[in-house]
Amino acid sequence: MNEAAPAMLPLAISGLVALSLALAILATVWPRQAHRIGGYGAVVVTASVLTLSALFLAAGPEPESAATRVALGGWEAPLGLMLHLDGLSMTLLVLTAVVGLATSLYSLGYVHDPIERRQFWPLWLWLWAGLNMLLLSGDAFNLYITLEVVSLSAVALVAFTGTAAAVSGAMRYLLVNILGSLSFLMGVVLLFGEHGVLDLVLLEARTEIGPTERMAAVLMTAGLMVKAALFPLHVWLAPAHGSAPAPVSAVLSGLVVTGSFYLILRLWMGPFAPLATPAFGILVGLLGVAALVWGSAQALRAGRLKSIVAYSTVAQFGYLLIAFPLMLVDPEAWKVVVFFAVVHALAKASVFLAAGTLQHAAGHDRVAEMGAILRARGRTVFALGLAGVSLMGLPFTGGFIAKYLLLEAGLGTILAGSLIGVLWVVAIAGGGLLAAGYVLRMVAPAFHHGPRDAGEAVSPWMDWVPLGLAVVAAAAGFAGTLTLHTLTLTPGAP
Amino acid sequence: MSDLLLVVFDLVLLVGLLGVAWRCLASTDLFRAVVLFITFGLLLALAWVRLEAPDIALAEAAIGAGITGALLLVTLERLRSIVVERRRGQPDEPPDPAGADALLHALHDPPPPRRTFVPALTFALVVGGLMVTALWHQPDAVGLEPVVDEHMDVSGVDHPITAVLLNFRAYDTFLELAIVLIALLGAWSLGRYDRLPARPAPGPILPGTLRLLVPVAIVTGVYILWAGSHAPGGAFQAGAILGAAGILLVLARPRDLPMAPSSPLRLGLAAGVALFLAIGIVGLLIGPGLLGYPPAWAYPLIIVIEVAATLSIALTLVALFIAGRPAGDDR
Repeated sequence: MNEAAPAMLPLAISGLVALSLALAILATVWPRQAHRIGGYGAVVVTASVLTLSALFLAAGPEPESAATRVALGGWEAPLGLMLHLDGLSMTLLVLTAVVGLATSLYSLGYVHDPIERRQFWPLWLWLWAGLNMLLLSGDAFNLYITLEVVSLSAVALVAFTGTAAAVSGAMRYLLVNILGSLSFLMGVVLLFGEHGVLDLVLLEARTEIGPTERMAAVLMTAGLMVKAALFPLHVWLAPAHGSAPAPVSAVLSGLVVTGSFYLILRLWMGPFAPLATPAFGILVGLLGVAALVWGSAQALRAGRLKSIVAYSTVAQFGYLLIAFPLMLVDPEAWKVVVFFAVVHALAKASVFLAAGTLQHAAGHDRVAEMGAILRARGRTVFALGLAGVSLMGLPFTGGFIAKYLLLEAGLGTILAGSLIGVLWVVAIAGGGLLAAGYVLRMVAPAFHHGPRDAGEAVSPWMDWVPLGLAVVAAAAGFAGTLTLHTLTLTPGAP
Repeated sequence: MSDLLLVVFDLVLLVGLLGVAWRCLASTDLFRAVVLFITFGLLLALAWVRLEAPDIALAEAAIGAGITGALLLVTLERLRSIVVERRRGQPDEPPDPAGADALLHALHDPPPPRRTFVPALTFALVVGGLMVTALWHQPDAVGLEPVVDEHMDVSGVDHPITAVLLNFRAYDTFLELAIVLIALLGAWSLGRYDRLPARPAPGPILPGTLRLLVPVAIVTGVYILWAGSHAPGGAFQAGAILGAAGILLVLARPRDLPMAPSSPLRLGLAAGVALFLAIGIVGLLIGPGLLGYPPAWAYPLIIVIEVAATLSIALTLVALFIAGRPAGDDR
């Protein structure tokens, strides 16, 4: 073990927060160079996140001592607020960096108008900084503020194209989001009123089962479910995606919803853990099954490429809900859930980026009329297909490993004597079939005979980045052991 | 006796708050709804005073009632002028206040359908009932007051709220400043500046009032900023007051606004967060940690940050009132 690593870690954490904020402010002040700041900045942020993860792995030999807490301004909780890094947040930070880097490089080609560029990059860098801060925060009220930074910049990016559809989609997203934020904040206020502390670790130590905790759990979870587009609170997802620029869709479905889900998981593994009962788990699981069926049905019906992908997010997040009852039987299963969310985010971002390239080439995204474009753009279709295969969970992809582990946990539930486990297993297996249905709907026209037409020229970034990210998503299975090892370094978790 | 009077006052305030909130939500006339919203904000500020939270009362009055009200009103006016434009096909004419009445109903918010009423009411009653139950069981938690009091001597300021906002939890305040800035970036990304749909008021009243009011507002703003170190007040409240003065100045010549050059404007808008972060990074490098100050330097650094934040907040609020990004920004 490296001796210097534990000492360096707090500095590296603060440094990452400062770096991502500095980039966002710099791009705000100097919009004319914002795309350069963003392009180079993305590489630097990714490099520092990878350095941080190396330091983290080198420093954390003991699972119980692996959370690194940094007192901002030198004030320890409960007076000040603490940054908190453990295996869970480290994994998602790396995911954010990978998807963020890919999205940034893609945007270099996608947002080419010099005026639009000046508006896009500052907002995107604020969003990225917000995500990094969200994942590093260990304080309930600070989490609310970082959620606001993320939501507000995401809303602005959804409205970015300025068309009537984009603005009304963004408006709906904004209103639903504010409702979610207020609900979350009310829960935070209740917890603070009861315990007088905001720090999550201190809260966890003081939590008992009482009316305040129950109410706070309901309010905070409902607020976050809205933000994570979990069924049945996903109403904003498809309209927001419909007219958002492709990189924004990728970040929204890949990272923003995953960030909200991360927070639900963190809360239920921390302060709210004593509140989880089997009946509650089954209720959440049933919601998950409904999400899977309903989201897939919408994706199979949708006429536009981006709608298909957006509804597939609703469906895929059903798995994450189904995982809740599994976690109650086998607490270890939470690591599988996170791994699934990571693989999903990688694949989904890559599908959205590929869809954006096709849409740009065709000038529209009506699936029925895209045959010629699909036949001419083999590279992008390959990216779409490869990421889609990972979403379906075919062997040798990251999605396969994730779904296999999930099925294993489901079978464990049946062996543990729970009859409803059969439903979870059937849903997990059947969901893959449905996914195959809507992924094939997107790529099948490429294999028909017919005219070819490459459509409008696209920049090399837009041509290659989706493919690169799809390869990462498919190969994520090889990083499975490392991811699961990193996740075991989360103190307090089973 | 005075206790009884206060109870009566509180009850009247409570009933007034609920009544105004209900009227605001139920109003189908958007203009009336906005006015009721402003009234609601003022009553809420009174309620905060009664709850012995003068800092929040100041912020609520200045931002919740004042600036938000102005933003809502100007948005409504823009909507109205768009409607008038569509009807008349004369894009260059500002709306005629006398004739606008006939067109007002175009901006009416249709009452919600009856069938949503019962589910909505049931939902509100259930959630409200659960909230009351939860609050009923809450102990009188002491919160963080004792801990904050213990550390006041090293905070650099004499007012506990300012100590929490700018020292102990400076990160939160920094992010709140960032959120105001992001809101403006979002508004700017949607389009360029459109002329305000207001005509300069004829006669000497507006310029005369401005001549008296703006200096008073500036002095008040600076006082509230300075008072923040030892009494209720601070950057957000001061920024809102200065922003209000700026909005009045904008309204004085809505047709020919002088446009600020882009780079200094953006620098001013981001000055608060930029300076805050710069000082915070220095804190990281020399010892106390990110966004921390050496105790001896805490007071001057907090004042510097507050001044920059006030300036940025005031500028951002005026820019939000004007809405679109200045034409110079695209050059």
